[in-house]
Amino acid sequence: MPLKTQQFVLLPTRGLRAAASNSTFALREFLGGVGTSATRGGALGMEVAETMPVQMRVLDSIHSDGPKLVEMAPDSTSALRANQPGIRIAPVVYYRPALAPRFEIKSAPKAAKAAVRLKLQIVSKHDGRPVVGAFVVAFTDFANRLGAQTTTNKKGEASLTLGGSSKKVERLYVYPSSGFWSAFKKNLTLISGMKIGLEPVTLNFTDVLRYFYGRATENAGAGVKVGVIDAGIDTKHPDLNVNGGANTVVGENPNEYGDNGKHHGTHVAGIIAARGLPPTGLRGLAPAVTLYSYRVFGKNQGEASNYAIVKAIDRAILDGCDLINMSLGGGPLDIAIQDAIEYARAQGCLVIVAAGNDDRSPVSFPASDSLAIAVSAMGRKKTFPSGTADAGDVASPYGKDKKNFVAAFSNIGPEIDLTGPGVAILSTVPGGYTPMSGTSMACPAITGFAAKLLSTRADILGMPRSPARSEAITQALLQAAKPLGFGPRYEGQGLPR
Amino acid sequence: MAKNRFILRFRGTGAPSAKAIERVRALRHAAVLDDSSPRMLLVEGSETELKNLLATMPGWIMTPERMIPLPDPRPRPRRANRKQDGIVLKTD
Repeated sequence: MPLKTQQFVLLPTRGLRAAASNSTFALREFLGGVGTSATRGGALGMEVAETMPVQMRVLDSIHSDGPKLVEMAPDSTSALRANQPGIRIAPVVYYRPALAPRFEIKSAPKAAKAAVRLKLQIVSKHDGRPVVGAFVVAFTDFANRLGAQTTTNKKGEASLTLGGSSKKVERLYVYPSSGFWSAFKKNLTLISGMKIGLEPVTLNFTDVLRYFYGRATENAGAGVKVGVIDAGIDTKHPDLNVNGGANTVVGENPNEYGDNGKHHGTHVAGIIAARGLPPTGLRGLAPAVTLYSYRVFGKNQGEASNYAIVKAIDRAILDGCDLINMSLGGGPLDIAIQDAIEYARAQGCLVIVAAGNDDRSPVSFPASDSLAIAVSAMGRKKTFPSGTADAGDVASPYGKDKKNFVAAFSNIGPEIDLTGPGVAILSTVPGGYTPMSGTSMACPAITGFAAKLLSTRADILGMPRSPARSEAITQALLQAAKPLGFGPRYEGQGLPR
Repeated sequence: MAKNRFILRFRGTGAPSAKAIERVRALRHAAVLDDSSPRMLLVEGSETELKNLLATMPGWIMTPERMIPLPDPRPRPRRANRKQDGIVLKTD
């Protein structure tokens, strides 16, 4: 038995008894087998490694086909989910009395200085033209996230209120909205009037997505329906063909499922389904999919309600989607979203969710739901130009190939099923193309791969809409993964290829 | 009486009965805001009243409406500190 173990409760797909739930025959057999092994000889606590896909110790069993309290290495959960895709694995939680928090003094404030603005100009390195709408962030104290942020105006100017017309900053980030790579500088003195140059994007650049997956064929993903639950997809982008969808935001027009102004959904969709070709366009992993846009973020809004998300999942199921991409998450566990994911699984549809971007925090909900596929983000050195903000995302652990790394922002944990390319990914935005980073980008890389894989598996696509179908999709996807050497908490089963 | 928004979702098999939905509509301190989804309702109303009703409606679950932010891994200033070193957070 490994030294570092943790207690988990293993549950059927739904409810507490496998025989009475949506659980497949294989899962019923598995839970029954754990119970039999545990109780055989009248002794709970025995190790059942020889009959189980992972090494575990069964501590208690409520019923032969019911919940099991087991002890196993947290790293084993990914392998267990890969073997039994319908299983729910819940870490044992201990509750404590809710004591009132104590207040602590951190530091005494210093006297305020006059708020003087420092003006930078962001320009193209190619021809010096101003870069409009770039997001500029300057940190004077990065550890405590102290600093200022703004967006460039029509002249490419960024006015930062940093307490002087000249200021030493620890970090400066510039994120353009389209057409350029970002910029990242450390430990520099900003002086009003300073110009910062940005490198224009060329569409034949080999980013980490193209490094691992190359260029998809025209018919990759054919016959597979993919729903993108996000901030809408630009229906006018020349590289995207949106076949349908819905806006599920209460109070908005249900037919307005185009980009909401935040560009996130359009970028996600391009990773899956962009149909262009460099040097004039971009291609995603599965350009022939039937693409649906479910907009859950209101017009120019940065928040989505759980109601809109649940409604979007239900709608995607009604539209016959095989895969649902959810590059979103955060906040507490929500039983309505949990139920919708479970309903999707019961209808033969797989939900793939981004793990979250909270700098190695635990996997966020709903990615943490056992029935969702949770995706972390990885990157590769030399797949983005030097001097971009992406350099700040390079962090250990590194893979067997030392150029590969797990993105510094990526959440991690035993719920991770797979990792995907998520650093400096080139994709579509309204009016052009831009690189973006996040588990939001890693997630559609996996969805795109799954669509490409599924389009070659008529045996799975043709199955009746049932839990067995979604489990077959899950198994095919997880079995295609190969570890990169980061460890299961960072990459689950690895990167599908 | 505090009024909030809640999701009422049917977990049973098939479609929820029209009678169940009518019982929600008949509540004195609740209003159905959206019923366009086949398995759920968005309702504004008294949490206690809704909980009491749902206790008599098997197969239904209830959860508060919550907001989830658009993911963004870009680092940002976390706090405005107008009194420390003259640094002021300027939001765009």
